[in-house]
Amino acid sequence: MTFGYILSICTFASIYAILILGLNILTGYTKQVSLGHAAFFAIGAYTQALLVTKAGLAFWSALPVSILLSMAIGIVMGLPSLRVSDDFLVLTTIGLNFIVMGITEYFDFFGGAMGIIGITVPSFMGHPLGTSGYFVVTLIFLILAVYISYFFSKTWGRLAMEATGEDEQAAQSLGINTALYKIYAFALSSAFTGLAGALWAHSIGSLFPRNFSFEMSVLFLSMLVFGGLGTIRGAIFGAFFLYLLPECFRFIENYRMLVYGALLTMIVILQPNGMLGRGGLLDRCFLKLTKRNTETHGTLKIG
Amino acid sequence: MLLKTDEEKYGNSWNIKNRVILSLKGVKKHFGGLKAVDGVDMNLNETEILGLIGPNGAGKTTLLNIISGLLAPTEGEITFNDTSITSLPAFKRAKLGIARTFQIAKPFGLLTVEENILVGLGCKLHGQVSSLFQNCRKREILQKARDIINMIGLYDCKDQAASSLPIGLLRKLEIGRALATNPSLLLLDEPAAGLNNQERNELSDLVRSIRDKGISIILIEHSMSFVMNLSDRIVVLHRGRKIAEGSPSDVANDPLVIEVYLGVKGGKYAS
Repeated sequence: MTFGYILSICTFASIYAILILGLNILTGYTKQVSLGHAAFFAIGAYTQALLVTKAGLAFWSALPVSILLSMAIGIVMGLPSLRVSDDFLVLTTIGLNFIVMGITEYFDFFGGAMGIIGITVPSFMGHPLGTSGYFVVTLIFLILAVYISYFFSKTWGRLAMEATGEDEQAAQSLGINTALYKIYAFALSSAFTGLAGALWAHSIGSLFPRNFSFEMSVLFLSMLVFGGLGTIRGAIFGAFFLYLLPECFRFIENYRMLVYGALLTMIVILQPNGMLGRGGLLDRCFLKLTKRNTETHGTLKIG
Repeated sequence: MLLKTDEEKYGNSWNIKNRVILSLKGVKKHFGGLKAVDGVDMNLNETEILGLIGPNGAGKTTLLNIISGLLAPTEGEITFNDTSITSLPAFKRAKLGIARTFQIAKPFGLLTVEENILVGLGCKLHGQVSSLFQNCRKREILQKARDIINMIGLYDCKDQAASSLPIGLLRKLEIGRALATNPSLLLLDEPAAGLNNQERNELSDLVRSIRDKGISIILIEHSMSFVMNLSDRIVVLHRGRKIAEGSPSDVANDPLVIEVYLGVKGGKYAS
């Protein structure tokens, strides 16, 4: 394992962490399960790739366009969520995933099955960034994404989204326009995902429709559920852990997906709220530390 | 002459107390062939506690859903503070000052007790783009939340997830959350269901203290002792229609109400 390999693995993990932070806003806060987030990922990646390779834009000027386009499509795709919910919304998002994959595969404008190749690593102040330079860029974006998520978790918006996700009727009776907050969640989530897609396009160098298959959407959702729905720490942990885990098991090449799958199943059964989720392992350890203070409250809770 | 203008200007105390805050005119709600609410006229005065009773399936909760905006009436007109709210969605009615609790408590289980109250406190702000940027834990807002939590007596468990509370505390939490929206009308849907006697007494004290703050209350309740003690006026519904209205003692002695509840051989509502 070379240093460059480790760096590029960490770059990918950081990009996935940005995406999962975005998915957390949609699925963690408003409880709208998306099994089609690879679609927004693809929209961000393809927009960025086309702008850089065909329109000749620089990385930095193409990036905002990719984010905004992804966000706009996210808002449009959020509209069905006002009419369907729960299982039916999941099916809708799966459909979206296949539509986007189909479009990228069947239209030559998007490279078709041959994909888009030759997306270079961006340059900064005239110097092309190497693997390590690009890692720093993605890390900065990850820190920015964490900061925005953290800031957002303190706002009225997050409270309203959580209320919408928990009980729409109760939320409405408290003055929350639930439809609006669902759209807000889709917009924010797809913006994060678009950013991740754009960053990913540059670090992988070439895009093919199969990169954005349904399996990717499943992986994204597992990352979030594994780490802990509705928490920032869980989203980051899940993305890093589930991305790095198969890499760590490379030495048992043939069985690594088996180990990976078994571990995932175990943890979902033992830790249904995710490893670092609310009421998960971390919370319980924290509770034990502060147990003396809450002992009196515990009796009240029962009585 | 001078006296008269003064009276017109300020009104007398009797007028203020009997100012109609909510009025329903011919409200109907039909689900296909089922007439859940079938032409109810009703007025609610300011700072009044109105008890809404009736046998199961009388349409009480449906009527409450229509008032709070979760259901649109098939026909009829609803006026709140002299403005028609018939076509307003629920969240806009909440912003106007109609708050409610639910028959089956609907707390936001993953949020803490304090956050549940905070959701209510943000009532006027929710929906604006700025809500995505504004911190909800400013000191004065937290102070307001603490005041409400103290009032409903949940201070000891303010940092617990709402899902961990027993039913008695959940009902109080729902009332607190509704109060946080700063309502002028509070709709309580069976707040005493599932509570023991001590909890019931606490609850009726709480409801009285809410009324003393100048909030009008519509109360649905099956527990007769609870609703008869608390209400200023009672409306009895049966099969979607209003069959009696008046003071608790009048209603309790109304032959039609007795027939509906206990049945009379060969009576109008015998079945």
